[in-house]
Amino acid sequence: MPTIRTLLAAAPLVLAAAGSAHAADTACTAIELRGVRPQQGHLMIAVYVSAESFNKKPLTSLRVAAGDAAVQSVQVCGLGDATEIAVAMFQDLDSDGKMNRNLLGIPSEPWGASGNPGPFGPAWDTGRVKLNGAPVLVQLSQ
Amino acid sequence: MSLQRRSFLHRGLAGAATLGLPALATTLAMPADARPARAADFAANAAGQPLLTPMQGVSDITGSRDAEQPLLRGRWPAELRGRFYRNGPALYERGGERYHHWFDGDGMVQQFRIDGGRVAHRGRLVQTPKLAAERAAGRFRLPAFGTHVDNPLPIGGPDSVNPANTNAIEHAGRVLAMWEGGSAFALAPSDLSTQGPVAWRGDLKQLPFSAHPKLDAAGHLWNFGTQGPHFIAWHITPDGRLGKVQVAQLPFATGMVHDMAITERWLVVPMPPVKLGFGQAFEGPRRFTMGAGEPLRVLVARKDNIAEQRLFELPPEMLFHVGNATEEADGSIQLSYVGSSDPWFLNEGAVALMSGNAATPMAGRLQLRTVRLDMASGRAEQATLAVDGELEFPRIDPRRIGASGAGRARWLVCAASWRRFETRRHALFHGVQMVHADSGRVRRFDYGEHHIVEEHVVVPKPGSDRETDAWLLGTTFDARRQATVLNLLDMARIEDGPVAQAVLPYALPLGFHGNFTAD
Repeated sequence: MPTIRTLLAAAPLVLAAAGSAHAADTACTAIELRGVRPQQGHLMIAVYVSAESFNKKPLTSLRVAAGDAAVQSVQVCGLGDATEIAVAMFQDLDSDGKMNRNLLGIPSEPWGASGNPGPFGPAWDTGRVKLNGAPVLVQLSQ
Repeated sequence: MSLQRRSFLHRGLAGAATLGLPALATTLAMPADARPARAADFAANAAGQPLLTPMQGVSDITGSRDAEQPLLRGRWPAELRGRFYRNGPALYERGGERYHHWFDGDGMVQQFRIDGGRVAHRGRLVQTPKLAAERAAGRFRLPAFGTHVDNPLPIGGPDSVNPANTNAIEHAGRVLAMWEGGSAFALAPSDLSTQGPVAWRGDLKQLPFSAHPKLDAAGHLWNFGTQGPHFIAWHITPDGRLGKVQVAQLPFATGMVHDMAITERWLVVPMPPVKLGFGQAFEGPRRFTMGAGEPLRVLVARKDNIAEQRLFELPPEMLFHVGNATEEADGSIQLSYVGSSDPWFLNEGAVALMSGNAATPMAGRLQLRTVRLDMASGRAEQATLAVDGELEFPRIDPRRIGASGAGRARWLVCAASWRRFETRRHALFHGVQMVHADSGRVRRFDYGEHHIVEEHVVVPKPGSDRETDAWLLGTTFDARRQATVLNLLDMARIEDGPVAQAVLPYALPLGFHGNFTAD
């Protein structure tokens, strides 16, 4: 039984890397995000390339403003020779740089992951997708 | 099954466990038929059962109902003016699939406007994020209480799966549609449009605000929520603002905690040991179990400081609803509730209603209990009021909620069933029954074989403080008319039956709970 991994761990790492320069190489992919809350804060996106690094050390990450539509495409570069990635992200609605939580620690901002993450959080096994030139789809939580 | 302590699931959605959301189950390989039921099967089963028409439910299109001039019978008193709200699961099917469990359905709030002898009805589905997502998808996409849903959408917390389907109350100018595990959804009293989930404060989003708040005579709304070992106590002031929120850690993980009573000083919260069998493969509807070796606990916590509390233990038992609680002269607390020896209704009754298959009889399962909670010694003494038949949905005079001594409530008004009919094969009530909490004396009215009786609430008559100077207001489904009926009875003469009725030109889905707000 794979352990369900956590956005709680992921969020600060995403944040730490957010804003860092993209790698110089040009290997890129489009990420298509669905269920974006339009014009609310920023999308905090992290890209991982292995189970070992998942939720620990993203290959690359970025922070982009939420656009006008519920579907938003983002170009991610610096993928090097990766053939398989997993995307984990959250929408920082209030742009405070962190995943908000309520009194009991429940995340209160939307999250999403590539692949077929299931309802309760991202994981490498459910999130990994082959890069084949098509956009990587990420459905944000309800 | 192991989870990291810090996992999103464990912390973020511990409420899922409380609520019966299929948290861990979603990570397991499911048997091929662990899916929603088929809508066509219900249609076939219900074809010869006119009592089951309300279980057809509504669709996105038929989820709006309006009747400005229902057929009125008898005399609606001119002095009865206000709005009666009810809520219940209403949308059961999408894309040919049907939920297994009655509790899964999306909530629909009913509003009856009663004014100077006129009655009008409006019904609206609560426009939750769940409803919107599944409407867009054309099929069920979010985990439900008693039904496994394939390929679920990622959820952002309890409100992603919140059907807002259990109770409705108007408070401080807005209608609160409530569920057990997440936020209340606010609706406008003027047109029942959904305003959205209520965040009482920025850091309180998606905390459980249970479906059985108690409104005291001064207009303060008291509520609780449970999530794993967390107990949350809510106080909402009469003007609709957060008075105080308190969180306590309990020495155990709560199961399904549904209702509570209040006294002047205490919150009295029964916590039955009913849990979902997480991690177990299942076919068809999800199963609920009594935690092995776990008692029925009753938490008594001070309203103004829940750290001051006592935990009582009783023999294991399922219960949904309390009757009342009072503070006695010797310092003890007297609690009444409807108990059941097993989670039969969760596992069978509510499932049979949805499938249209006959349920096994519920004879003797629902008992009206009283328990004396000795705050000094921690001992609890339990007794059963010998009442003929089954009863549920107890309600008391709203002016007496939280009152003890001479001003306490003595009568519990319940939906009840005490006769057996060949035509009735489900856990449905046919009468309304008043039970005297001290003596067990019963007064009642039998609507009859062809009627389903829902919760009746107590509406005090203006100008009198006597407990029985009140009306009883409640809905029934008349299978011969195939219509939902709003009934008004005189509490002092309950045996005479309705003094006034409003017959709607349609059948509404059966609901759970509601409340009346006087003008």
